[in-house]
Amino acid sequence: MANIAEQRIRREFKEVVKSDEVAACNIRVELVNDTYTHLRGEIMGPPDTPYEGGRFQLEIKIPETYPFNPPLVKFLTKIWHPNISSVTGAICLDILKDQWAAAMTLRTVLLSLQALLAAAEPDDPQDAVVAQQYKEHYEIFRRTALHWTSTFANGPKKDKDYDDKVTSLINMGFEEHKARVALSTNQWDLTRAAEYCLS
Amino acid sequence: MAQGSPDGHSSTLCKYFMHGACAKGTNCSFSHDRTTPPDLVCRFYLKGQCAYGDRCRYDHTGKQKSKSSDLGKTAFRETSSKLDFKSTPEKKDKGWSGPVRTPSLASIRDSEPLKSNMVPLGKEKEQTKVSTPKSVTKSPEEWVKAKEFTPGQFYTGAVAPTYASAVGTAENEENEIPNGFYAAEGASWDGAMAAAPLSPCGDMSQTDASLLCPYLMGKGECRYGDECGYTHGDVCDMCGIAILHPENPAQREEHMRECMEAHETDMEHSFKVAASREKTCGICMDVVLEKEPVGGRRFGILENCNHCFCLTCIRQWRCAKQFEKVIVKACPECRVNSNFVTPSNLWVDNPEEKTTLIVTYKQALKDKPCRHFDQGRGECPFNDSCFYRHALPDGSIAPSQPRKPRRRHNAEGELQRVLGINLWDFLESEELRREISQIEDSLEIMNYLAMELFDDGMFVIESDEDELNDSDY
Repeated sequence: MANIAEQRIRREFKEVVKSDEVAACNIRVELVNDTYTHLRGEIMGPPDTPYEGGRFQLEIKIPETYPFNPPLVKFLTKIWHPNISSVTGAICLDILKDQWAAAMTLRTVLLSLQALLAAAEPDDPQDAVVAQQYKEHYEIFRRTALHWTSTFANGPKKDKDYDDKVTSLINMGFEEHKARVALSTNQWDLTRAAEYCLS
Repeated sequence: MAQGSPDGHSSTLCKYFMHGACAKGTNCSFSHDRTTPPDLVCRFYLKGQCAYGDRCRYDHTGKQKSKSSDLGKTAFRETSSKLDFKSTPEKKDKGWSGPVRTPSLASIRDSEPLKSNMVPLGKEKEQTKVSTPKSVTKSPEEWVKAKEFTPGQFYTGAVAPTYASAVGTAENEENEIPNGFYAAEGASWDGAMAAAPLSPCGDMSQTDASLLCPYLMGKGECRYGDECGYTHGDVCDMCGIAILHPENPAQREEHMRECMEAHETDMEHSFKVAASREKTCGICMDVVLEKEPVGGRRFGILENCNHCFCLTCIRQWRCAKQFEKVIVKACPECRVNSNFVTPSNLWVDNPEEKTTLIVTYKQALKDKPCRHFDQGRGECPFNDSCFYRHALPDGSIAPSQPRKPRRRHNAEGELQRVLGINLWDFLESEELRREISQIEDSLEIMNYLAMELFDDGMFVIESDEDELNDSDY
């Protein structure tokens, strides 16, 4: 790894660890291995959003050309968000692509991601299904996001109705995650979700 | 180069010993006797390929090495390299008209072979009286001939010649202090000290009581104490050198003033250094002045904002190809666009200093030939706004070429930047097209005439068939 990248990540790592946000448990970074090329990030779901209270794990890979190229970041925790793929966790955020600036740090990236959770951009989606739901049935989107947060990110609020629907699909013999995706994609309509699973 | 001599040592003076730093000591194959001449002939000159030409610091004298000439040069070289003292511009405004210059190198060469470095100095004194007044030359071509360290250099301590000049002013009528208080002018302190055993305190007969003692000034002590033939100056509080002449108020005042000025400059510089010391680069996050290698300890000052980066980082960022220009040409911190980066050894954020820095930088670039332009052989994409020099092989500045980027809409309606298209290109192709169309026209006329030869009926039938096409027109 290029010298400059590693040195910078070491510094940034310290910066994040010392920052106020860590003190408030909003963001966190930890090492995956000793080389500083692979990091594990964690952000708190921002308040007043369906993600509130959830802890979202991120995979951060530092390219050799860092900081002249952005770090490669994706969600490890499954999340229901228009700009984040519900399948792969890939993120659609300009600063992680063409709007990157060399002066940005791990801290600013994590805070930007937190801001992205609070302010989705459905017009520039990563996950088209989620974005459509966000635009057309916002209430369903909100409840779905909440359900995903409670399921995958240890979110505090449960949605009993949705949980029951998932359970009933499981009882029909479908695999749990497949059932959840089918329901989320089909506006929680059991019949359509079952058809979706079978197709 | 190393020729054997009876004692097993070369008859050439060791260059390292000359500067007082030969690590080999007695094992050195070169001579450690200061009376042996050093070899200062330019080796590249002997090969006929010295790139420095007249500006070379070494002798361009063919193969004959005149002893005195070499020594003279040694003396000079040592002076310039070791006498790291302040040299100040000559004070013409002091009413002192003729600069009392130390003699030219030739005068030293003409002097008899030297026993010690001290001796020619006495000679110099006499030479000086007849030396023609000559203003200080600052051009690089001349500096090698200059006897004293060239003014314009940064202050590093107190120096001899200028005070000499000052005294010359004060005591001109007496004509007793011709050239300076500093007997060792023209020879290094080290040289002088080393030579001392050979001729105690120089040659007493040639010393001048009005000259300040070089040993006391250079080493801070004089072994001859009160018996020294030279005047022992008072120690200046500022620079700590025994440089104040006890009987010359003009010289004292002059020195104090210069010392004060130098001190103020030093202070300003220290403040700037202190302000720069803590600055970190926003990209590599290193402290810029602690970067390794040392060459990287430079700031890249952006034109339109005050964010701090080291030169290498900001240049690398601005060259990044993976992003759009508008991203990389902007400051990575604040995204304010800047058209260029100015290198600086110290951090500058004061607007006035920044303007000065940028102006100086552009001025310096103007003297460098543009690589793109390549003396008119190439084409510079920056054209008139290029910072570098667009000089033709004869040295004249090339006239500006009106080649401005144009923009046009392409077939998809997108705006394109069009470079390297001249109106002339169109005119030429237009001319070519016109010529071709003229030929075509004449062919058509011939065809028409040929048609006329046929009967009218046939012609009409043909035009009927073409009716549909005609209606399109």
